[in-house]
Amino acid sequence: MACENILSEEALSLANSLVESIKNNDKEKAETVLHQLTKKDDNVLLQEIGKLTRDLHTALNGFSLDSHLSDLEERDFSDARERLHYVISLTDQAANTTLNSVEEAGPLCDQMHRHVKEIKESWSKFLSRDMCADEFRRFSRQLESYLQDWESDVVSIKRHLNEILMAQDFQDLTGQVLHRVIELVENLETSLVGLIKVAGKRESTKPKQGAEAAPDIAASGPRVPGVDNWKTVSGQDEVDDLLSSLGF
Amino acid sequence: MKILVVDDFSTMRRIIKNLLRDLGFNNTSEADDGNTALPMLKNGNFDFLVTDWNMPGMTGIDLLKAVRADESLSHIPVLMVTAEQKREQIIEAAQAGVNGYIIKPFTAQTLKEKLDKIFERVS
Repeated sequence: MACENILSEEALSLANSLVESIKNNDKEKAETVLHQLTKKDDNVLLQEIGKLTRDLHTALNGFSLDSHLSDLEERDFSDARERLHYVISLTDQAANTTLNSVEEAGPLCDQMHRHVKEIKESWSKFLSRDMCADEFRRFSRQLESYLQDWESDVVSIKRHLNEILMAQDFQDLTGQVLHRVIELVENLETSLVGLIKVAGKRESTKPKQGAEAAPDIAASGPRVPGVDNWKTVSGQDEVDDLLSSLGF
Repeated sequence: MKILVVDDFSTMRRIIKNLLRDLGFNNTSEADDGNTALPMLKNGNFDFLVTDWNMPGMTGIDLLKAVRADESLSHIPVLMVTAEQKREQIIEAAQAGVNGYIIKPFTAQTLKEKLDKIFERVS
């Protein structure tokens, strides 16, 4: 646009008189003409800046009207970070609980296997009448002690299996927390798309109804320590107390 | 004793089913939210319902209310097993007629205690 103006007739005559004044070594006139020429250019530039400013203003207005974005505060992002950290710590805990149980139950199984093999060998010796009285007494004592071990070892192994089973609850708990983070990312996406529309087409968006304040009983998933400040009971005992105060 | 376990996370359903089996309850079925659970309850002769709260579709609290509002189902004891632990929510569940409320994460022992308590009251 600036070029068009400079190339206009007026600009051409100004340029000619600039060349003329330089040829005549008329410094004063040359400066005046030059000033006139650049002033024209400045005006065009100012107009462009003005237009850009107005566009920006419209875009920002639309931006602030979009309640999605005004709902998304910096806090939401640090919340999301905290939630993801919480997921890491829960998965870490579950993995360690599982590995600990496996590491404790594994050797018990190995030991049982060794002892069963021993008893099996002795037993077949006994069946083939290849065992003297002394050996039999030793075998009998050994069997008694192993039976006692097995009884308690099987209980331990079952306990470890139960721990492994319960550790899998992390999937449910982290899943609920991750769903909330996904929700935040989706809100951000919607807002950014809205912003692009507003800035691109200079369309004003109607203010959207802000999300209603969550009623107290709306499901909100596990409380993430340090993020969710809503009041919760401290544990199963408090639930039981509360329910018994209600006549349960 | 036929038990329906309702939770949107299959791992949690498996955990609860395993725990129930250890306690001697072998006849269990699963549903992933209230909308799936309700028709199963209506046609399945279930004796007991274990449900989560926070589920897409129909939540556990709405399922509880629907069960209590249905004459043919209202007698079924309902145990809620959920991560929801606001006082208002527990009171809401109690008012809707829940028989037990366990918060996640829970232990096998807690599940056994609550089941025993419910059966003791029901019988």
